[in-house]
Amino acid sequence: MKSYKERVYEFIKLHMSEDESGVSTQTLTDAFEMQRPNMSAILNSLVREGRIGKTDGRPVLYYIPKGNTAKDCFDNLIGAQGSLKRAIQLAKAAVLYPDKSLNVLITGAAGTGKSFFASLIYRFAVESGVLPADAPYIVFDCKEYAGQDSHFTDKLFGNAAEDGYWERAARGVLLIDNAEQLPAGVRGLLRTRIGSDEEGPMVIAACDTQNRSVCEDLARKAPIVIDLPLLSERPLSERFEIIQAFFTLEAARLNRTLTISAELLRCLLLYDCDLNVMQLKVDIKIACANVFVREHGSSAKVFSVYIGDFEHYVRKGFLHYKARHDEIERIIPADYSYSFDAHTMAMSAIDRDKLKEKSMYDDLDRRAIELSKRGMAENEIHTVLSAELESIFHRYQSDLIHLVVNKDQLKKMVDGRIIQMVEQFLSDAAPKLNVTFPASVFYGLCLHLNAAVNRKDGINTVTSVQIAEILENWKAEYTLSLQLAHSVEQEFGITLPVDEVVLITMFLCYKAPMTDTTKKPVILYAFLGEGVAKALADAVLAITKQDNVYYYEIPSGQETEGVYDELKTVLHRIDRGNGVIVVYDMHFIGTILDAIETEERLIIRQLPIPLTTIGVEFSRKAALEGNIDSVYQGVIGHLNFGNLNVRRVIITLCSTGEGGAEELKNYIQKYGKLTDMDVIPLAMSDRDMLREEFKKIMQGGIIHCVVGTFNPELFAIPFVPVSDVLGVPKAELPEILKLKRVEKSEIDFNEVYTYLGEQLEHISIKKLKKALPPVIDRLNLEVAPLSLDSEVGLFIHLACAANRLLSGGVLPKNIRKDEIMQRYKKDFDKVLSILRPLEKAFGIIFTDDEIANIITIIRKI
Amino acid sequence: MKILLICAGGLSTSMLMKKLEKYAAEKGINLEKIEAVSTASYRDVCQEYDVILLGPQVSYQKAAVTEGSGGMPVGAMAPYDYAIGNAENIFKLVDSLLQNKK
Repeated sequence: MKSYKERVYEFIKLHMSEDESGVSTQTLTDAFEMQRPNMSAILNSLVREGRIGKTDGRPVLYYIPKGNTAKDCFDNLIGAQGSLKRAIQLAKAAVLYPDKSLNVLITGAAGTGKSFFASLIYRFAVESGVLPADAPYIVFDCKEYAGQDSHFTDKLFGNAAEDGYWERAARGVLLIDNAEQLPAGVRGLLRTRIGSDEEGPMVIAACDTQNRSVCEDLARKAPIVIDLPLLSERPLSERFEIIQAFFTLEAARLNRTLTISAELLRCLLLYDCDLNVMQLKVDIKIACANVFVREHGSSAKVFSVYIGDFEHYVRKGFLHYKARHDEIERIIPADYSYSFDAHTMAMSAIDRDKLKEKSMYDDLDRRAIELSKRGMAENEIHTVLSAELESIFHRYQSDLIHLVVNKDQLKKMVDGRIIQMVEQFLSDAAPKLNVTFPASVFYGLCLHLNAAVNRKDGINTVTSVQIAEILENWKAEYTLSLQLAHSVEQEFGITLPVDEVVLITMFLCYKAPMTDTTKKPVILYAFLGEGVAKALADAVLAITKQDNVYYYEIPSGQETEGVYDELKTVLHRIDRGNGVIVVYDMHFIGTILDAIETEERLIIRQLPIPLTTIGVEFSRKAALEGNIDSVYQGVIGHLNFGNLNVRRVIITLCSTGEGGAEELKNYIQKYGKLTDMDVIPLAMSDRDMLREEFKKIMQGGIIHCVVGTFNPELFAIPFVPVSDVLGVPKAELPEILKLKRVEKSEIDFNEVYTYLGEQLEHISIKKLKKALPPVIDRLNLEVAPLSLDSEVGLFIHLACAANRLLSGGVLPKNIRKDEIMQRYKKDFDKVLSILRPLEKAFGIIFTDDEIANIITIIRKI
Repeated sequence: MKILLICAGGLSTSMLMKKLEKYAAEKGINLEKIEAVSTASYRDVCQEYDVILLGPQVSYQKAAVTEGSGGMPVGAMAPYDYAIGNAENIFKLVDSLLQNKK
């Protein structure tokens, strides 16, 4: 049973639909047999909620506002049922609060729509009858008076000469926009005024969240605080609605239909909007203005908006595409294009059935229409189509394969019964035909049958000659296909034309288009710097005398911006239908290639060869180091070569007899979890011979480290003593072989301890030897990789700090402690836990300042 | 000569300071003044010195310190020299820094 209130509302609605101008209280009390005061209370409450309105004359008539049945101005706000639901509830609560609406503080970052939201609050107050229709809505924008404090009071509260905004807003709403710029003094005055002036307006203050202290100060005085979310915090579906709304608006303004590609819409959905909704609005406005200029004087009814019409940063949206692929696919499927016009608020998708129901028939139909337009007779069309069938089939099949990547996806697109039938059919057919079918045949057949089953009228493309040909050459396949067609007919209660059987046969005979000799992959060099890529491509072509190598020069100083588009254009230009192998040096090219591959359906294979990066690393390292082998090893050891297949080897070294080295090799291979490294055993002690041997090995790869009974000290190759390998639990071996402590091998720590022993009176070196190295190792492993400088520096630093604490002294303050604790919260906790064993060993406690010092060193702040 | 040592808190450099003073006394090097301070406080005092040396843990600040000191000669001590208090090498570094200045 509905409440009285709902029933009263329904009653009024009913009468309204009978074209009455309203219902009087008398009618209602009679109808509900209810006391007049009770009915009035219900009616007033409905009026306050804005669900009904009342007329001014007598008798007072209650009515449902036109075109707004059970709706209010907030309902059209994008996100009303989503990210702004709570905000709207609060706003309504503030307006409808008995006696007098509550004051509101709206907080939010720049461009989140604070003043727009405030205007809706005002409209809602009028719609709901809380404020009369002629109630003033006054906006006081603090930004206009920024820096002229004396003006604030005059403007806001008036003076002898003129009324202030406050007076002008009386019995209405006063929006104080950019309230964070209110001087503190004026804030105080405002508070007093709000407290004392019964006749004063409802005050809405809008405040940028960046200025938190002012926000908090104002929040203390406003009973209702509404926080508007960042655009990035709102669901993409809402962002899409917002984009639609803006385009619709622009379409109305230009009086044209605007068409936009799915690709561009995706960018708009994903690029970073620092200024939130406002940014989106401005960017779309600017783009449409560009379109208008471009099309100036054109009488075309439809204008296309291209990505080039937008500011360059919009296209960066692509870079986020991969991460949110699934979500985007749902909202804006590829292969659609969208159009907006002034009247329909909605977008309309063009080529709606292109993706999912793309069937071979579409190609054939289109071709048939095309031919008939050229004046061909039906039987001629038939002949042409038959001749083209094979090539259309090839295109069709390779398109189908692109559509599906896995079975789950297939299930969403194809009737489960068909999947089952095809699966069964192929597994039966394979042994009979003595072939194995690639997944593409399975996917293709499923998709094709799905289309065939759902298709209404047949098409005759196969000639009897073709059928005869197929019967002759592919008899077994044809017979099997006939069976499949038959079971499909039974299952779905349909009749498949004989053409279908021929098509199914073609699927079975389908060979991947490897035989297509006209299409071959091409090679692209993409390197940084002028002339590099070109020189490489030229050199290769001079040797091979082919024409399949191209180049693209990555403009220096310009990273992802622009490169995406340029590279895309180049790839499209050079692709011959079988893909492009891209050899490149800069890491970010890989990211862009990934994006292009998914966006553009181009086949791309990547080979990153970080020549430039290696050079940069060498150059930097060489500027600091004197020893050539340290420079070499330091860079080679740390570079991530990605796909570049450089063989890494570990050498096990024994001075006597190969048996020991061999055994060590077996042990390392068994427990070292080496996935990408070979182990080479060597038994020799002569350094000159070793040098020769190492050189040979280094020509074919990189010597990762030497594990052995003695350190040959050659080529700055890291050395792991055999005791380190055999002396630890087997589980720790992989870590040791990863050389987390490589650089320390350059330091003779015994001498360090001696020095520390001489200088530090309060600390036990024996304890230090035990407790400190693990701490440094863990900092290195768990917080951030340490340079040699930082590692040694930290070592000495911690020893001295511990000594100072033991002597009863205090540790120096770190003036940036608070900032560091805040910014590096994770590091802070981690360092704290890593230091604990050291604290325990010496019975000391490190201060927060000290931990901040350590983080400063590790993070090089 | 006057040397200013800088490290994160001024602790470990004060240890080195003693070692350098002792070495200078033994070798008859004219070390007029030597002090160890932290990266937070060197600006106020650095003008009183000829040369600034950085501990390895703050060597990444070399450019910043050079700028902050108004272009004084600034050297980063080699980690191993620093770790064992190799006064001989450190004075060599000071010499080369002063040499370059001229």
